Amino acid sequence: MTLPSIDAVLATVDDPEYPGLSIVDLGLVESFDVADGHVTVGLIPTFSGCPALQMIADDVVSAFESRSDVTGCTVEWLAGPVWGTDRLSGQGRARLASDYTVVLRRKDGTLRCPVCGSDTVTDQSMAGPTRCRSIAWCNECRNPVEVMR
Amino acid sequence: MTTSDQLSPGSREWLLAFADDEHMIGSRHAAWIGLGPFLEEDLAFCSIAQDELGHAIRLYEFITDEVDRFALLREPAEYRSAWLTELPCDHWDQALTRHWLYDQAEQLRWGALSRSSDDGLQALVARAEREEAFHRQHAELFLSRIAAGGEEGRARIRSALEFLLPYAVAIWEPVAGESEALSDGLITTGSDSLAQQWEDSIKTSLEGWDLSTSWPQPISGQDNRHARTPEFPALLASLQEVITIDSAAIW
Repeated sequence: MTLPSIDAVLATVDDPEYPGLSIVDLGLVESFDVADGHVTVGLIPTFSGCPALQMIADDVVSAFESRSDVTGCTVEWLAGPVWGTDRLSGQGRARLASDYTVVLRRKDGTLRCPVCGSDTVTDQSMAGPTRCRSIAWCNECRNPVEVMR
Repeated sequence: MTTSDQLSPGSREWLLAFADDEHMIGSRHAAWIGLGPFLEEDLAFCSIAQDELGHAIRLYEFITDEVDRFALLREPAEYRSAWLTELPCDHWDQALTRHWLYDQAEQLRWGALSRSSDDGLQALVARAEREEAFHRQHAELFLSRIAAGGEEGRARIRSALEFLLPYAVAIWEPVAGESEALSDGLITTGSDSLAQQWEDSIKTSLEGWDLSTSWPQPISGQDNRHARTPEFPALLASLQEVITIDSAAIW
């Protein structure tokens, strides 16, 4: 198995919280390698306490072990680097906004509503439905907005 | 990454105390799911709990290869949690005040590890500090608003402080072998200095909120974290419920 094809397989593994958004687009993949048909993948978590870590690791292992050109797969959660929203790909950002009404904070701290495009979005709660999301509100179209943090 | 057989007894004790504190405070915070004063607060306390439990797991990994069994199946005397983290705090004003006192201390403890001789620990510190900034922001937002509000809220926080401060001060009782952890380079700041920084920062905030209180002596009897609170056995039993039914369950 070649390195580009490993990358392609990883791009088929979705984050359990965001079906349709791959762990590559989310910036969780830090490293991968193959030796004698055994694939090793180094991932970094969004937050230390994310309860989906085991699920993600299991999904990566099954994506590789179903292939005839792979003898095995090991997933390691790496201590560093630290995940941040800057690790999201452009495609990942676009999909979060269009499919999940989840946005990223701009450098100046402001938010753009993923529904109507307004800039009048205000923070509501630092704690959202998952560890990596907080809740905001669009004062223009009156939709709740989630913020990846 | 350091493995347990490379850690000196003093370094192990320092990491164990921190890991057990994170484990117990995370477990206590998690009890607020469904019980917080409003929905967002349920979520906030439980998000914070998830982080603290995550930190506990990462710290335990420096001590043992069998995190779940080690975290859950020791004898009470083998835990090194500070009493502050074991208390139930089943009123929200107490839970919030403890969360603030503890996280102010936690920040300093990560700082003590930030120039650790161990690369793996340094990487963990970078991650934890990013997460802890949210925790402190949460605690301070609430406390500052309650402090600026009505007399009932202020009285509750004052009474929670009076109850909790002696326990919080005792978190800085040095673990056995702290000097070894320092000479190993595991940590670069001792508990005396951390305690002073913590006291200064707590006092400054309390003054700013007009909630100054007389500074207490540490609660006695913690015995260098070898003794447990009367509430600990029930807490440990509740944490063991799943693993005693299914020893292969994933924590």
